[in-house]
Amino acid sequence: MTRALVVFSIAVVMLVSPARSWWSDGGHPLVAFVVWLGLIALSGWAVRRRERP
Amino acid sequence: MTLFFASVVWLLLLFGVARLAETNARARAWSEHPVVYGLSLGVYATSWTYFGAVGAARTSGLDFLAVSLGPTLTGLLIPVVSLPLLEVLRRHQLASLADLLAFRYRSTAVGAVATLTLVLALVAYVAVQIRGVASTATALRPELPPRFTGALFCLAMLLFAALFGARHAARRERHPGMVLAIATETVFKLVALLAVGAAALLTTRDADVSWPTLRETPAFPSVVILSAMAALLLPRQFHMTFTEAPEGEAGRRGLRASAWLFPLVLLLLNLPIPLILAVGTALDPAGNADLYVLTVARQVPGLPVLAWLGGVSASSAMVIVSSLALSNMVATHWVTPLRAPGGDLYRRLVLERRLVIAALLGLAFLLFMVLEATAPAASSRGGALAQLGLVSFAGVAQTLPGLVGVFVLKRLSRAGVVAGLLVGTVAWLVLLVLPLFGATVVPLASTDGLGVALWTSLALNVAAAALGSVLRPPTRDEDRAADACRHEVVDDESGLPRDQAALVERLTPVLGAATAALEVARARAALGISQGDDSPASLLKLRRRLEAELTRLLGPMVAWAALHVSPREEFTRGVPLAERIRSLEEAVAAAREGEANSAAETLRAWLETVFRALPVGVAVLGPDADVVWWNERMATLLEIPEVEARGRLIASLPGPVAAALSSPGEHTLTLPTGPRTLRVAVAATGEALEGARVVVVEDLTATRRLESQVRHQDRLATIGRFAAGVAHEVGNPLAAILMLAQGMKHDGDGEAERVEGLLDAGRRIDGIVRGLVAFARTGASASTRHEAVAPDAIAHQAVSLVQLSKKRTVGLELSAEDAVVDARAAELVQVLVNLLANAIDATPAGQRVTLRTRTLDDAVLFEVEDEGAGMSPEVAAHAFEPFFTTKDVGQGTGLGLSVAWSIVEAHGGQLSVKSAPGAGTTMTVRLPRARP
Repeated sequence: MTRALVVFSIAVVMLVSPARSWWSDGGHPLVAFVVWLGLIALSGWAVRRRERP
Repeated sequence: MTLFFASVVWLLLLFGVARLAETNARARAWSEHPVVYGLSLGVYATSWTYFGAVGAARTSGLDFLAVSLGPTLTGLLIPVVSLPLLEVLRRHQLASLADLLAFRYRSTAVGAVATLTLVLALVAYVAVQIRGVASTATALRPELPPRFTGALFCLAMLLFAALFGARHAARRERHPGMVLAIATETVFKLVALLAVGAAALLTTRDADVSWPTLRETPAFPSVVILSAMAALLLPRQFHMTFTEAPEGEAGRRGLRASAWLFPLVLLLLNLPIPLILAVGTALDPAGNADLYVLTVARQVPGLPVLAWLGGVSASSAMVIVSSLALSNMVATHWVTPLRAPGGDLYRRLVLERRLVIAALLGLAFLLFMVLEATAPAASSRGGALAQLGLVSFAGVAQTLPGLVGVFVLKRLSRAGVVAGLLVGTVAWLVLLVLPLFGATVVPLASTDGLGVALWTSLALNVAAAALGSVLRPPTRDEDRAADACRHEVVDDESGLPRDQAALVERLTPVLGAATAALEVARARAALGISQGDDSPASLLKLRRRLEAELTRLLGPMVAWAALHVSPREEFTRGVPLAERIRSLEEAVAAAREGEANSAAETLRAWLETVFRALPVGVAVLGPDADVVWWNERMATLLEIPEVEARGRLIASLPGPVAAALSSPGEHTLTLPTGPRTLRVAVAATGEALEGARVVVVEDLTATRRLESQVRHQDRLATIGRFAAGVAHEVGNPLAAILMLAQGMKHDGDGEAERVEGLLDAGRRIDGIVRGLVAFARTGASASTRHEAVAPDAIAHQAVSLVQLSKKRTVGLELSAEDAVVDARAAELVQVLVNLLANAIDATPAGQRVTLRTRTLDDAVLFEVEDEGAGMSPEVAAHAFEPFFTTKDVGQGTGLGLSVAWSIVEAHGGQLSVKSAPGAGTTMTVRLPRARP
């Protein structure tokens, strides 16, 4: 759960905060897709259930 | 015609896939695969994403991506939001968001108002989907009237939804056919759109067209957040995510996989959009951008039909699932409260849902006709789909405050949620819907007008909810419902019907008499309960099962109102404390099964282990004197297992046990394994445990036996000291008497007979004195020389002596040939001779006396058994006391057994008697076995 919340915070900063402007304001559309793909990969890792030893 | 045939083939494919999953086990298993489940969530991407994204990219730049970025945020909240939601919905058999809100706030009104908000938000958007299909068909085939295509489309969707979505009376049934069909549509629209993207890529190579530069607008963050809410709250998303999730761990696994799979599908769907915009603008600069997908597809022969079918796929998935989800809510929260009971309920439920689907699609079609009349798609430059879609999302978002109250905000009441929904919905209508028709009541800032309207309506919603909750705080039922959403198990204080007949009577106003009896009979059969079983445990299980079934059929509020009654109502009774505790234990165990231990579970398990392992018997009795808890030691002491004792009234336990547990103090009970002395203490717990009492039982049997032995030893020691004293005082003058009498006999003085009489009496007194001396000495024997002796040899010796003196045959059964005891052989022989002599004296001629030797692991037994008259318990209790005899005066001194007892005790053994009148006597000498 901690991982998911950390990645969620990163995603909020990347998508909603003013810091997103480096990829969202006039850049090549492919950059937006690459950023998005990175967030998707992080999501898959963050939400994956850890196997208990 | 090509379009028509393609449509028919596509429809047949869709129906075929659905039918396959409904009838084939393997296909049904596919529908539960995490990848298929994740693909089915692609129902989120409608004709808005398929066609409208290009129009949105033209009018709003990079904002077209924002509506697909939101689900990525929602995916990251799966562990904290979606998974707990899934558990709550499953646990309480809830099928929709309106169900969840009605359950949480214990209010039919909340369910009805939430349904109203969602219907208002979605029906117009369904109309836009119909318009999307119709307008794109007209774009490809201008001779096709939009209304005709739209009507055909609605009919096809009605047929599919009715056949594969509304098949069962129970609302929470899974539809594997529909899941597989929706997943197939997702793949189809993805392939189609990527094919158009490939065509655009080829065109950019041939012509001077490049990727456009897209900028976001100020509304970008608001759209991202709005789409994140919509990914959870949209009825179609809620339905596919939760209601159609596979059961058990497969559902949880699928949900976790959807965190990356679902956004990936959206990314692939959006990837071609910028290129399609660029190529479409180059090919048709003044055209409707919402149709650029078809414009670009025309560059490749055959591709337009595929592209169009991809759009139809996107629209149809949305229409099917949305109409199904909305019909569930409308049927449950609008129709069911008004339905009169009676008739075939199951058939009526299915028919109602299908009729509601038809009504919703009909309403959407009417709206489509209005839209066509007022703002035809042909004259649009694009962006209309996106605009209306965002307005729809904002309407759905009004349910968010109520949803937040499911897990947090326990102070949010039903009055607050209803007020918030109504105020929020009205604000949404005024700020966002009316401007679509040109009626702007409240002018908003030009930058991020959507965001301002959204946050304003939500703020008003929250304010109204807070005010309503302050003015009308939550009731106790709402608190319990909040606990039920947050915890696996909640204690239920509501009453039970008196019996099964009262249960049927309770359900009749809701289900009708015949259906009520049928449902109770089905629940009884599923639980293995007989018809006459009206015990609280069975009624509790029946009520739980019926509540789950009724929730599946009719929704949570109907089930709850029918089955949860105050214990004070007529025809009900409270649930006995024992049953409440037992059902809580079962529910907690079931909820925790397979989970790693939490701190609370670890503590609970530890306390339970301590309770069960206590070395004293502990029981907890409820206020009705029923057994609530019964630990293992109690079961051993009273010889009543826990499973038999729990739930029973004390008075129904076997007589002596009931009497003992009802009064503190010391009791001697005769139990199957023998008598037992118990001390019972009772402690009241007061209000903390609802008047329960704790009973503690301590076993004093061994203690009392030891005390008896100590008293016996003490008595013997006293008699021993007395005997020694008497022997000393009597011995000397007795010796003088005997000497004088002997002298008289020798001298011939006096009469010979009288002298002989003197001598006899003297010898008798001498014998008594010797016996007394022997008794006094055996307590602390002068000779301490022990040797290893064979028990069988001792037995032989004793039998030989007795047979010689008593002239009677004694049976000999020897089986201790391998054993050795550490003893003084002569004394052992004396003991056996005493016992055999007593046995022979007590047994008439012709009846047997037997000496038997046996070995145990750590002891050797000598058993002297006779077939004599036996002893009564009173005689047996005194048998080993000195001078106690049942023989006539002069026939015995009463010291033989007491001497034998003392000798055996001195050897570290025990001498015991088992006898009953008319059943003979067995004397057993038990000596410790010597180790080699």
